[in-house]
Order: sequence, then structure tokens, then C-alpha cells
Amino acid sequence: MKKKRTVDDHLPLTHTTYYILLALGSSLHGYGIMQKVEEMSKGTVRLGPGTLYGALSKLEKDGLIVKVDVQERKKNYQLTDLGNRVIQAEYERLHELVERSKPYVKKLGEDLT
Amino acid sequence: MKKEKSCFRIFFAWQDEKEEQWLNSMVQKGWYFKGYRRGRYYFEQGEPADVIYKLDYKSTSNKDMEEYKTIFKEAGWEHVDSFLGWHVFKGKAGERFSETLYSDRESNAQKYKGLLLTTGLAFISGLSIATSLVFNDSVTNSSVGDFLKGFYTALLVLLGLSLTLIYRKYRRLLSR
Repeated sequence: MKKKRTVDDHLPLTHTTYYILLALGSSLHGYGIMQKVEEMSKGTVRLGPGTLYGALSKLEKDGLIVKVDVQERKKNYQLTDLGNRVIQAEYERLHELVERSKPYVKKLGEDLT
Repeated sequence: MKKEKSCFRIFFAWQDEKEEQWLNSMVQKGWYFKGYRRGRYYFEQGEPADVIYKLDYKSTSNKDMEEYKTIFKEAGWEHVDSFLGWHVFKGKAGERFSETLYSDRESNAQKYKGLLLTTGLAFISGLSIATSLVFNDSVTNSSVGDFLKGFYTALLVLLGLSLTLIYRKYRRLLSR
């Protein structure tokens, strides 16, 4: 029996996982995901195939993405509702963290100059 | 007819990066890695080119082997050969999307975690065979027994050493 996991159990996401999930808002396959992630990250994240393969199998197992048929023998990946919820939750978490810490970080930053 | 050669070399699981460097030094001299069979590396001669070899360890079930190879192929990494869960990929300059197979520390550490689990499983199986049969004098008779005892001791020492060294590598990656 699989234990039921809540959205929060999937957090925090790694940089890589966050971008991969985000890329799968539309259904894509291997190289398409790599290009989309590179584009979204403005060239800062270039996925290695080992990293991508590992992430895809884990995300599929966790139910955050699913395989969808495109043609015979060719399959794409796509975000599930749960995956979408996880992205929303992670975005909120990061956003809150940045917002709440902003004045303190700014103040500390003044000490540096 | 292309020239071929083979050489004997022991591959230790915790030295995968060294192994890559060796394959890369071979290809710089024009020897392209073709496959690994029973401890021997096979090479074929060609023009030296900007080609690099990388090793991956796949610990998941092989049901999705086609999918696995496709993802690497689309990223410009051609599958050359595999042995005991290790897969050798070849990437040509201009074709490879990334210079490494793993683009972040976490996923690279995950690879060694898979390797640790498989090695750990082999160690436990070896240990249970050793304690229940090999080192049980009522089961094993003395002449065969001595050979088996020696063999299993060496095997368990090697597996134990692998576990320690792979674990250290894994920890280093996680804490860096």
C-alpha cells in the first residue's frame, strides 16, 4: 500500500526538478524538455541526460507527471494536477521566503558596502 | 578493415571518473571504445576527434531501457555498451547538449545511492551464503570448503571496500 502523500511532502524541490515540472505544462519529450528548461532559465540550466532521466522516473513514480501517447512508440511527459499543485505550493513557499526576508537581507547588505 | 585491439583492465566501481579519463585518453590516440566483455576492453581505430566518454550507473529496472537510451541520444550521447548496470555513452563535440551527464550535485549523488543499494544487496547475499553454507562445517566438506572460504572472504572484503569507498563519494557529493 502506498502511503498518501500531501503536496507539502514533495517540497522543497531542487532547482532542476522545479524547472522540469514547469516545462511540462505542455507535453514534451526528452530534448524538448532540455530546450525549454534552458530557455526558461535564460541559459543558466543546461540539463544533463542522466539528471533528466532520473528526475523523470522519480516524478512519474511520485505521480507529479504522466506519460502520454503521441504516436506509436513515442511518448511525451505531462504535468498532473498534483504536479501543478506542487509547483504552486513551491512558488508560494519561495515567494514568501523572499518577501519576508527582504528587509532583513537588505539591511544586512548595507553592512557590506 | 578497421584495426581493432583489446586489453585487460579491472574496473572498480568507485573509480568511474578515472575510467572515463582513461577512455578519453584512448580516443585522443584514435582508439574508439567499442565494448567490454569479460574484463577486456575492445577498441577500434579511427581518426582522433573531440569525443568524450561518460559512464552512467542505472539502478532502476531495465523495462524502460529504450526510453533511457532515447533521452541520452536526443541529448547527443550515443549508447556504446553496458555491463552490470554501467552504461558507457559517447558524446561528440557539437552534438552533445551538455558536457556532463549530470548537471546538478543532487542527481549525481542519487546515481551513487543506486550503486550503493545494489552493492549493499550483493554484500548481504554474499554474507548470508557465507555464514549459512561456506563457513558452516557441517555443510561444506574440507577440500572444496577451503577454496570456497578463500573465495568468499575475498569477495566480501572487495564488496565491503566498494561499499565504503562509494559511500564516501556519495557523502562528499551531498555535503560539498
